[in-house]
Amino acid sequence: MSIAWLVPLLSVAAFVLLAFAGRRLPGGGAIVSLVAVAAGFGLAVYGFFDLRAADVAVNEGPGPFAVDFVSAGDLSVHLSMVIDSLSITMLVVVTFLSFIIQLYSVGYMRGDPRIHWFFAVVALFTAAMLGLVLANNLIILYVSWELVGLCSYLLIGYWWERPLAREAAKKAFVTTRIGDVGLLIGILVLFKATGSFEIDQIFELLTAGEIPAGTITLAAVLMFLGAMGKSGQFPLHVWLPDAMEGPTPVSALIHAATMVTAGVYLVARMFPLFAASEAAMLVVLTIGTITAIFAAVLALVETDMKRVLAYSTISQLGYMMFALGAGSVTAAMLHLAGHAFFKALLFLGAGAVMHGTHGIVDIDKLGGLRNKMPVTTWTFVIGALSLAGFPLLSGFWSKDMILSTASDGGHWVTFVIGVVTAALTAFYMFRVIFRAFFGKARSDEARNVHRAEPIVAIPLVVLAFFAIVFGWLGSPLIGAPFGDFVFAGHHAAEHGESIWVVVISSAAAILGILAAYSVYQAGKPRAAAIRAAAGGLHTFLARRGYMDVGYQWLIDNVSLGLARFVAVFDRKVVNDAGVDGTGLAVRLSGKGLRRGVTGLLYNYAALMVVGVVILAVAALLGSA
Amino acid sequence: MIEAIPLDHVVLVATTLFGIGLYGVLSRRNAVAILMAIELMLNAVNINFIAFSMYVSPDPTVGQIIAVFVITVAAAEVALGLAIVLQIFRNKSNINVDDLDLLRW
Amino acid sequence: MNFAAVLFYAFSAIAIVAALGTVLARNIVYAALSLVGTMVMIAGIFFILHADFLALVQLLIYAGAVGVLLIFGLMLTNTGQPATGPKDRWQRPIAFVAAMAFILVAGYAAVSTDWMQGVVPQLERVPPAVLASSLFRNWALPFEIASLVLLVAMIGAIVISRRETSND
Repeated sequence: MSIAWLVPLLSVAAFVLLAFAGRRLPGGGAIVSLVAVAAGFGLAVYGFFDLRAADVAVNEGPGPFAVDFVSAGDLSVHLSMVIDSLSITMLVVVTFLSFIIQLYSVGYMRGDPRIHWFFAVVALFTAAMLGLVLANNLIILYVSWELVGLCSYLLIGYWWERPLAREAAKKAFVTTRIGDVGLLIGILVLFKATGSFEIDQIFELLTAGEIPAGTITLAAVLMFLGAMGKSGQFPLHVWLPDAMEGPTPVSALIHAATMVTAGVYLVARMFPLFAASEAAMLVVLTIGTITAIFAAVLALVETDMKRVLAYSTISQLGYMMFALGAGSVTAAMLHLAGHAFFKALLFLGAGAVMHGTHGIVDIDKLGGLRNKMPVTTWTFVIGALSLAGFPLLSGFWSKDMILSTASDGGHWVTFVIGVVTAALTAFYMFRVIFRAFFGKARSDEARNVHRAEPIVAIPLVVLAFFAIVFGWLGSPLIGAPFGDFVFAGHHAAEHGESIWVVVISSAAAILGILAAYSVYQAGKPRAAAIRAAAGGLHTFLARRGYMDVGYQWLIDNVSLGLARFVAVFDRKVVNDAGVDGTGLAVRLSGKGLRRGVTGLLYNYAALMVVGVVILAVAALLGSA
Repeated sequence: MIEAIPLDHVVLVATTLFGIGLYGVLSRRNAVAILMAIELMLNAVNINFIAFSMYVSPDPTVGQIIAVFVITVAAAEVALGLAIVLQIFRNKSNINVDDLDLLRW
Repeated sequence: MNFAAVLFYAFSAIAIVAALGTVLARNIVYAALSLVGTMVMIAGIFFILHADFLALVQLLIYAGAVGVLLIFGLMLTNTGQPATGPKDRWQRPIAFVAAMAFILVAGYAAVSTDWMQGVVPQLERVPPAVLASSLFRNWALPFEIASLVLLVAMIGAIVISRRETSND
């Protein structure tokens, strides 16, 4: 698989072409980006079978492509790549989803004046994401990491005419930046301990026991901070719901399926490092668990369809994190890939609704879409069932794998929370479905909705297919081939699924669906009654746990206060005293000294004589 | 016959003449007057050369020969100095050195 | 105190007075004439110090050639203005202090130093033939260099003082 480097490079080429010539291409040059990513997908699939045949374990197999990128002294950064089951899985998922979602975008974004820019940035994002996935070098990984963040920023703010989009883009960028700083420091801590940025070399030193335990924990926790920012983990999740201001395909591709999973991927990629530190694993487990339940609870009261999906994404990312924290890369990766399919499906479905209703996403204003857009409705239901972990669908297998990981590891609190989250997930997803697709239309837009066009519908169907079948790769019924692949040769981390876990999680999912049906379809009890009973709790949740308010207070008082102090310090001390002071001192001393430059010959001669006399006196005193 | 003249006295005379020349160089405005003062200083130095050569040096010719060279250089200096002064005079119609302050601030 | 010593002190006194005239005279021509006088007195001192040849050279070159040259220079650059002191009114006091400081320091050094350090002065008259032989044998190279210096100075003086012609 020595041509893996071609996969991101194709998208880079597409980006360059689109950024400079996209305006002149028909349809914004979407075809360029599509062809590039389709070719990338082809290569990735080829690589997948290649690798399967080679039977290479995770984090083994040399980078096929290592070029000197930066050389300075003893340090050299290589553009090295790692092709293992982990990265090839991501490669296939990312290229496939990127292709499907770009296909969908051709219909969804049609007529947008800046469409070429949309496809250019999506191509750049794809390239950066692939670079991140393939990187065997932490510097390359970090560069790609920042690049996907940049693309995310550009795409959230794609409709920058809207103030909300601008604010959301800034919020996303700044919030993830907090985590990114942690990641960078973590990388540097690792570098200081090992002298290398190459992941495989770091692992070699790790297994050799060359890295002190404290350093491992520090580096792992710092890197996890980066993962928290990117993957929207509590408390850095606040940017993800706002990021829904971007075009829906962007939400599907970047903020559901790929970029936000970069954090999970990072932890999976660096798993040996995390596994070497119990404290770091506990942090991952705890943060993941908190995120899973907290986001699920917030999703209960959200009425914006896309934001519900955003919270659901956060919650599911928390699921993946706690799978990692409980020690199973296989479960996390299976859930990651499966989630990518059904969450992309859900977002694209939401996008189709938005498209059909000209921008209405508030579920209070929708309703009754089932009759007008059947394809969208039923694919959405499939996605929701899969997400909820309904038996035999994709999400069911991965969720069970995660829950069994928790139960096998003895993490009972996490297990219980995971089950509750699963029930909540089913509940809020079917709340959306019953409110938006069933019942009676509650607005003119919802009544006059038009059917999704084929280019929008086809991706939905394709994704629905995968939302049903993908999880079977992890199904013990057919021997869990996914676990074999991701841990080829390392069967230690595999978990058998006990039947009672299956029963409990299926029961939770069905219970959630039934509860949603009872409240939102049958009206027993009515939603308003529950809201009234909940009282302050509902307000608390509707205000998103006051976290935005808290952060705003933090920024206003702490951040800006500090900034004000720095500004004053800079203006008074650095500028006035430091910069101007230096200039002033030079000017004044020059002003004084130039009085000595009289241009009068005898002044100079007199000074010379004075000097000679002083020297003579010194010589006399010295000899005396 | 000259044993009665101590070396110190000769050196003192030379020092005095040198100091007077120095004062002239420092206080005169006229460029030619400054050149004259410089000649005075050079002559004072010559007195020293000859005196030391006579009294101290094992070879009494050395000081005299050096003095010859000093005179040679002094002659060259006067010739060049006067040429420069002439040129200054042509340009500025006077030869006051304190008018030559183009390099001042 | 013998005749030579009396002559020496007399010459010295006259030389110093004339030197003072050179630097103090308001009329620049008097100053030049005083300088010639100083040169003659110094020639006398050379003579007393048994440097006959130098005395003659001093008379010929300084009292003669250089004096004439300076007076020519004065004539060529005569502005008709009376000589005035420097613009900077502090210059004369400063010059005086500097010159006095030099004289005192150097004079102290001259008096306090044991110049002879046990050497018995020969004080013999050096015949010009000996001087010539030393100059042309031991000092032949410096002599040639000195002639080159004079040549360069001569050409330089001509080039510098020549009037600029517009196009040649």
